[in-house]
Amino acid sequence: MSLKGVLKRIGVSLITVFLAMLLTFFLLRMTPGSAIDTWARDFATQRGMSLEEAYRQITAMINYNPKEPIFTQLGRYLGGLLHGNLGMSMIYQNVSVNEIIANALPWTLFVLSVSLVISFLIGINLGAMMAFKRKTVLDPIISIYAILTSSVPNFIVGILLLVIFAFQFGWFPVNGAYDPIVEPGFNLPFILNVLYHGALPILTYVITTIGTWALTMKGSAVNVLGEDYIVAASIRGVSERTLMSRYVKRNAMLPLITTLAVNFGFMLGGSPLIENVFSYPGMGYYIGQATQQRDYTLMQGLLLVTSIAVILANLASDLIYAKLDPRVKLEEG
Amino acid sequence: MNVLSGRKRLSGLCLSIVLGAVMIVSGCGTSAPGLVDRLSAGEVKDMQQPVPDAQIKYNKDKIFHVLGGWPKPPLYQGNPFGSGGTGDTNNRYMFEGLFFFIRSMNNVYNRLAESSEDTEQTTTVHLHQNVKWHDGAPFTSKDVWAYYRLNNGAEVTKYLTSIETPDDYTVVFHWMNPAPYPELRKLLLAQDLQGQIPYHIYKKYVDKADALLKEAKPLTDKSKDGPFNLDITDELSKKIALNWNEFTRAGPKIPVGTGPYKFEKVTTTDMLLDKFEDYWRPDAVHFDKIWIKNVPELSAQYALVKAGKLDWYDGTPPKDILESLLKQNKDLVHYRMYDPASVGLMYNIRNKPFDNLKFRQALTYVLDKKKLREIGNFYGQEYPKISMTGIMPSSLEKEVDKSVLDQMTDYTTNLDKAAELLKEIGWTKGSDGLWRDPDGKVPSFIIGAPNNWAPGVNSAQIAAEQFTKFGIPTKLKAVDSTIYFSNADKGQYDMSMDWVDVSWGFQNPWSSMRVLFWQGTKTKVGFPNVKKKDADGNEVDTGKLDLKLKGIDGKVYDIDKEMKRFPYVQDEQERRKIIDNLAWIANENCWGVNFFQNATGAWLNTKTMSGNFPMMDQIVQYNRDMPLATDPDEQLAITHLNHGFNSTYMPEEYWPR
Amino acid sequence: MSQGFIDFWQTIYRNKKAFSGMIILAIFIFMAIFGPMMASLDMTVNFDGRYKSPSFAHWLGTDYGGRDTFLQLVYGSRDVLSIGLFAALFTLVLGFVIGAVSGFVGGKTDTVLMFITNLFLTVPSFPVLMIVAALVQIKNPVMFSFILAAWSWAPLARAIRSQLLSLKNREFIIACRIMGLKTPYILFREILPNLTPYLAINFIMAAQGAIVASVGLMMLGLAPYSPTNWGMMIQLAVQNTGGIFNPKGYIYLISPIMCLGLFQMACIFFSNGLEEALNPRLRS
Repeated sequence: MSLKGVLKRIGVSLITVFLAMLLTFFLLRMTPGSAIDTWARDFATQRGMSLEEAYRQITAMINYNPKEPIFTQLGRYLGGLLHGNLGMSMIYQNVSVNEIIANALPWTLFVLSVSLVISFLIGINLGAMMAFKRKTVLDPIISIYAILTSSVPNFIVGILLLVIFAFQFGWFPVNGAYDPIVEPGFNLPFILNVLYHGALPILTYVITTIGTWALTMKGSAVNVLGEDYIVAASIRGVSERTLMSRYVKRNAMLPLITTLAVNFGFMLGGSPLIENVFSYPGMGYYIGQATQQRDYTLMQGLLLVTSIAVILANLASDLIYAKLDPRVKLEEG
Repeated sequence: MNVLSGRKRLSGLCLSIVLGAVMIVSGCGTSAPGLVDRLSAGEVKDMQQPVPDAQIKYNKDKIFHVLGGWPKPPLYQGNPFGSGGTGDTNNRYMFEGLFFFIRSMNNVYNRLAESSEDTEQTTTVHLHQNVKWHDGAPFTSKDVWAYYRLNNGAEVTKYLTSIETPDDYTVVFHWMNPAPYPELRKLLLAQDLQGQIPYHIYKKYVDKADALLKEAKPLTDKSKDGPFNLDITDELSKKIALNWNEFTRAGPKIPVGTGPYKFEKVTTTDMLLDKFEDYWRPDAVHFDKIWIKNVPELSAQYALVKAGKLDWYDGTPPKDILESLLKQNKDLVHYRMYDPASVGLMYNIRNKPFDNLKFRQALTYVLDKKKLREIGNFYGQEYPKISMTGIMPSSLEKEVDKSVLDQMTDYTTNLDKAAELLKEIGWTKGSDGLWRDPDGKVPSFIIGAPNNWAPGVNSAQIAAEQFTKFGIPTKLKAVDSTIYFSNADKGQYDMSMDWVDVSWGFQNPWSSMRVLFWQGTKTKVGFPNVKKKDADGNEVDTGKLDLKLKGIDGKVYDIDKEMKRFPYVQDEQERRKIIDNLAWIANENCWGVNFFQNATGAWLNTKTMSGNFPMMDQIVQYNRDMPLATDPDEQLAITHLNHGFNSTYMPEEYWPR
Repeated sequence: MSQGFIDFWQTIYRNKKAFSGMIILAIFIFMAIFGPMMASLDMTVNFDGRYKSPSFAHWLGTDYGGRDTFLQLVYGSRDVLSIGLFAALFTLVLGFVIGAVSGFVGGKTDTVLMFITNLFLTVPSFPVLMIVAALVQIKNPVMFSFILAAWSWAPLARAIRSQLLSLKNREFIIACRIMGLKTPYILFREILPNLTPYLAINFIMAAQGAIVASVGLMMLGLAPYSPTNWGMMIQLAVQNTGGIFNPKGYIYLISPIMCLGLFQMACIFFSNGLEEALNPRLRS
């Protein structure tokens, strides 16, 4: 794959990111509805004031002038982007979007990377086994498991885990990313504390996604099993174990790598529902909030991060795929 | 069916094992004597005095545990008017006002005000003299003046001409002429927490706002209103708004108030408040710290309550959960109280055939309110006789004269009457059981509801099913709450759901009538507005209500006028007559249906906390599941427990045990 | 061709799992088509009869309002199955066509198609759905499915494209090209059967994802609220029984989950036989 090819691909990716960002900018502003009505009701109920008063206070709080012409807004936004500045939150005072993302992203990255890696590794191994031992009882059991966990919404699993392990047995903390007592930093107590708090969210993700990886892997592996070279190898007397690990798994894994990349990009947006259950301050929490309150700059910033992640991941998976599978010859475009 | 049950059995077995484990494990409760046992053993006397420190067993650290929400750091800041404020629950621990009122009962009490007296045009308030802000500065009358000069959009400023501060501890409010009647004045003042804008911190913005207001001229047009009776031009309004915006962003990093607890620490999931050593009422502070946890997930909240980790919790869960929680934790006691709001449906009179009174009445006769309540909120209370009166149903008998109530149409469920009314206006029932309008068409109606409002969505679904069963096909549309309200206001749905007969601020029949005729209900029903022609001959909507209807006595009344003159009527009897009339008009015109009055509640954890529990003598009888109180004193005591209803902080009446 | 047909069904019959899967699917389809005609569903609220245990009168007990759970599942099956199947079908068709063409043809076509796919992957669904909700009224399951499919085809397209990238350089494909066979023939007659197991799994996942997503769309107001939709029943069960704390509500909570799960399981078992039928090497 020549340098020119790689650069061309990067170029296309950049253009995609830019277009996606523009589209998002306009789409957000064209979305009907306003956050103010629900917000005012919550305000009025919580603070015991009249609805009119609530409306008045909220409208005064927001840093957003809806009358500003849209292209001026766009210009300002793009100008800020060039400096790496994603703008100021429209709803919250004095907080830049960069700051919010800098605070939320590490947590989501942490939980998601660990979960994805664990569930991917376990999943593909299970899937390969299932394809190999198609006649045994392994297949139905894992299939049933996969179906159950994908039918149940993942936040219910989260609630179950929370109730059983955090409340009932007290083995894990109830909420948050780390204890208020511990000082953040690169010290061992903090790292251990973070792992401790992250255990349940990670477990939730892993439990609910292993099934899908296993099933998809199985489908792909079954494909591979029908190939000539597998038959040839087994005739040659290659042991079943080697067959499974060296021949089948590696080949069947390939299409899943693309899915892995896509998932990684998507999951960077966090999962608002799961983060809600565990009170985990990740990207999902902020995206949920921003959507509710129509905080456009915050939403854009978060979505921009997700878009870049997805497109980068896709780019990476294309390049890696070409490296891993010699049959693939990526064209120069 | 064999294969079906076989597969199901395996999966069912797995799941039920897991869930069974949860059930068994959660069944393990505490073994110490519960509240009922202690009361039966005669512990009442001991509970009514603060426990000496040495004898505190279950809450040695004297921490009060509650739940709450606030903007997560780094979003957190200390200006209560900034976005997200300083957290909804914390207001009542950190900030105070001159007065405070109990939302569902309208009683007003003194707080920062030591006493006050009224003359025809003024109200003079005397402040307590030893009040300090959390940073040590003294609280003076200048701070009250600062509050209203800067926050000049507050409702009460519309009735004032000026505020004077003759000395550090006296504030004189000058009212317009005519002035609102005395009880209303106090209620208006009690809506604000005046101890939120310390002059010494926000001096710059207060002075700027004061200067801007001084530029404005007094209002001459009687139909308009403005702060301090001033005419604010558009340009001035922009400058004031800009100043306010800068003020909301200037906030200190941590909140500064006058209340009994001051800010100590905040993370994304926990907030700690510490006792304020210089609080002006030291006897009112029994806890050393307040620990607020942020737990948004409902199931997790119930788990915390069940485990006894919270001292106080707001809200009434569905019936089965309530009973299960009480059963599993014997120290919990749950009180219920009326919410001054009802779940209701409003007919959109802009859509045919809802402009026809008999049609609306017919639909109202179809609904079976008991079933609506059972699904919407089991603990609510339905009032089958009324349609929608604009007055909180639980206080209907108090606010409206009996003779008027007797003259109101009775809308109790009556399917035959409904059919009769439909036939009168030309509808016919086909052989398939469906009704057809005079043109022969079978209708298909939509009820709109905001998707995040469970009682509304659930009861609306049942209402739709009841209409459909009667023969009028109706479907529910649960819409995202961010677009629901604007859609409903534009008249997109045949019927819309929202709180009705509701008082958002203080509880006063005029306050709930405002919602009916001027605010939320008005826009959903679609009352017409007065239209004028402007200079170019184009029609302009003035926003003023254009509704003239016959009253009880047969005379035609201009509703807008009646509503506008109410605050200034000094004679109580005359005020009651206005309300009687308006309520009767609302009920007869059947603009909507009040499904049921909402009830809410509060939980107390009597293991870690002790105090004068309301209805103490009935706790054993009801096994801690307290019904709605009937005695007004008890009702009052119970409303103190719900933080949405009052601006006090509840721990004042309780102490660690 | 007819010999292949008979061969196909014989393979399914011989594979016990696949056969049982097929039977279950047939039952579901029967339930969806004929169920509502055979029993009437009364949705009147009967609060005191809520959360009853399964009995002869109520095969799966009652829900939070005292209404028969089993009948609600039956009534909902029509919409649910059609939405799920159509959405999965659209997803697969779109995903396969775009992914396969993109991977096979390569060059500028690939760049353009992948560009479009990436856009779909990154533009957030919420604002678009809200805008669509303001413009369009969903009136039938097909329209509903189409909107649902619009968000799920993109990841599939990418995955299929990567499969194609390796497949297209295989001997048998190169042989086809040398023979001068047209691209559509190669894609549909040679490559598609090759990918069947992979596609089958994705079909099932897409169907299930669509059913769950349909609830989201209903709550946004794009489609009328349907309390018998299985996904909506799960949501209502969690909401109205308050999560896990209601000891009596377990049957009501589990029933729609079981139903969904059963349906999927039947699909998966059936696809097991499908793999064998289409790929003789897998038969033992």
